[in-house]
Amino acid sequence: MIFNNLLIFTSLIAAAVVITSRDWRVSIGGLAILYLLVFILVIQIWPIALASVKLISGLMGISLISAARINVEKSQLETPRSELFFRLLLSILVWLVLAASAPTINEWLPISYTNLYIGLSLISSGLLFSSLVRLPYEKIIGVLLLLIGFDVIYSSLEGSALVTAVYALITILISVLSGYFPDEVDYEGGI
Amino acid sequence: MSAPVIWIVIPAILALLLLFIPTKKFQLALFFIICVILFLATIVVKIDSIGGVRFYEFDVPATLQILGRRFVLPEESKGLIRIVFAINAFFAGIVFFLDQKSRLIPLGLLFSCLLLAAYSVEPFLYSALIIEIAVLVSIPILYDQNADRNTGGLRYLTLQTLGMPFILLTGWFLAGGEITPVGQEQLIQAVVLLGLGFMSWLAIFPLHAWVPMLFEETRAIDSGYVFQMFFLFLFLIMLKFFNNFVWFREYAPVIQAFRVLGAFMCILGSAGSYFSQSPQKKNGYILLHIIGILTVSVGIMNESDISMFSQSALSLWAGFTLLTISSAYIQSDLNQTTSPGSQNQSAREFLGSLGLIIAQISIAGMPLSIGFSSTQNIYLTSAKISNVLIVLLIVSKLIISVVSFNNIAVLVIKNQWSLSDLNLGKKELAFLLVLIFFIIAGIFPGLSLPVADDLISGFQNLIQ
Repeated sequence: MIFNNLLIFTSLIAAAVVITSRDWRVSIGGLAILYLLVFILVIQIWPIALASVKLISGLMGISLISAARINVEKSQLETPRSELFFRLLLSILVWLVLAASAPTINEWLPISYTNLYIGLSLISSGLLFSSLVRLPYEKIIGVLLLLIGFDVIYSSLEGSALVTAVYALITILISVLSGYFPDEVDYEGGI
Repeated sequence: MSAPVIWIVIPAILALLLLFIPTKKFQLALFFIICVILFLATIVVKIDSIGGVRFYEFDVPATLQILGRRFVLPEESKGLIRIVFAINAFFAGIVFFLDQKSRLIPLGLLFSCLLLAAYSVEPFLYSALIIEIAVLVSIPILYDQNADRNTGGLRYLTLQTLGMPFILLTGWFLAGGEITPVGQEQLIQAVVLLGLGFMSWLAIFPLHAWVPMLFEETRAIDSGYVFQMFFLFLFLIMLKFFNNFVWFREYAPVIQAFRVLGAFMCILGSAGSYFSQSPQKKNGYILLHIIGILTVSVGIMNESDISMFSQSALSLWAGFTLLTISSAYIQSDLNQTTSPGSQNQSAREFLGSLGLIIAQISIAGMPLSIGFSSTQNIYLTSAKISNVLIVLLIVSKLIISVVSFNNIAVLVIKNQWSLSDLNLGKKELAFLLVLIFFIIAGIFPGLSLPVADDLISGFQNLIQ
């Protein structure tokens, strides 16, 4: 029980770090903690060899994002503190709503509550993050957050070597895209 | 050697090998030859033939097994394979003629193979993963590295990624549902998940905003090619679900949702194309209109038959292809070194605009156009179902017609050309031939019917 609560608490803090950080290094660090957390969660259900594929592919993705960002100059447009605070408050609100609705969803998806709650909160954080940020690499981190969250839920439902392999490939390919797009301020086109 | 090896694995490997060829023209020629060979292979290769084969034919199994999953391309899917490689060869020809910089050579071949793999994989839930990889492969086709505007592309990536979990979860919910009937609660859960997944994939309202944005940010030929293939396969995968799950296609709320959302998308797309200032965005909105029409045709399929879908799909995609290549032709005009106002440029502008008008008229389903008979079929069936539906469809088609009339007005009033002044070079003549082909196909719609039947021959349960 304490261990499960600790896992939930750590995942929420790591997600909060990713969401509210101004420095890409800190965001990437938060993402790395989340991949480690997924490994700890999945290892309880799957064999270590299969679970480690998730950790390794995640860390490879992080290396690819870091390699793409390392020579990029820091953006002149620094995110205001109020926006970071807004993102955090919005995330906390969503996590609270999820805490209330997770038992109902648990009737649909018969997996452990810890995995379900962590999965759902990471999916929602990923969606929130990618919709609120401006830079392409941040949006891609948001997509990765979403995928980590779904991975926690789906791994608890089904253990397939092929799905794990394809999922790892998808994670790596998405990370590659972070270096493909340059930093660009969000364009909102009208009709 | 099996059918999936011939039409999925080998072309995918060849596409990757083509990446290492430095000369663009040689790469393009090889791409074209590979597509033609794979197209012709559908004639000499028989899949799981029951009787004997002729001396020039080969018999291959339909199934390829990888780690317990099966990729199945039966004899009935050869029509689709032909269409896929014909589209690839056609677009290679267009890239050659327009002399445009495009990444669809050779990545388009890999993209098509991935979509074919997604269509053929069993159990179907794995198609979600393969489609996600296809989406990731399509990004380098659509955008150059360091493209200065990419918001539409990032939204496309995010929403397509969001669709994957829903479809995977549906697959888990429906495990065994193909054989045994599912309970009411399970049915509702599966329908909700599948609906959300397809809404995300098919850019159904309110998840549609990325389409016009992306069209504005990318080259017309690339976005036209990618989304023509992508949405064609998504609709075919959706029909595969309908074909396999009897209870799903007979569940009233699903059919109702298809009709309502489809009609809404028709109006949204046509209104967007009317109000849009940018020609590229206009194309994006017209694509949304096409998605709407196809969604409606799936929704009213029960009242008629599946051939209505295939005929609509074929005519609308043909119209959209012409729209794409006409836009690309006009874009290539802007990129060419010909001096503005020259006779050659005038001919291109004239022919490109004419192509746009014919394409829009076809999509609007006007008489003597390629889309006329299929649009009439949809009207006829919709009229039996609901007055509101038929009114919405007619209004949306009227708006598309107004867009094309607007283009005609611009062509006739703003540009005071005399046809005798137009200097037709080789490219202009080739484009003129394409236009004549489209006009003939519109006058004789029966010519395209066998191709439409080929598209749906694999869905035995849906053919009434």
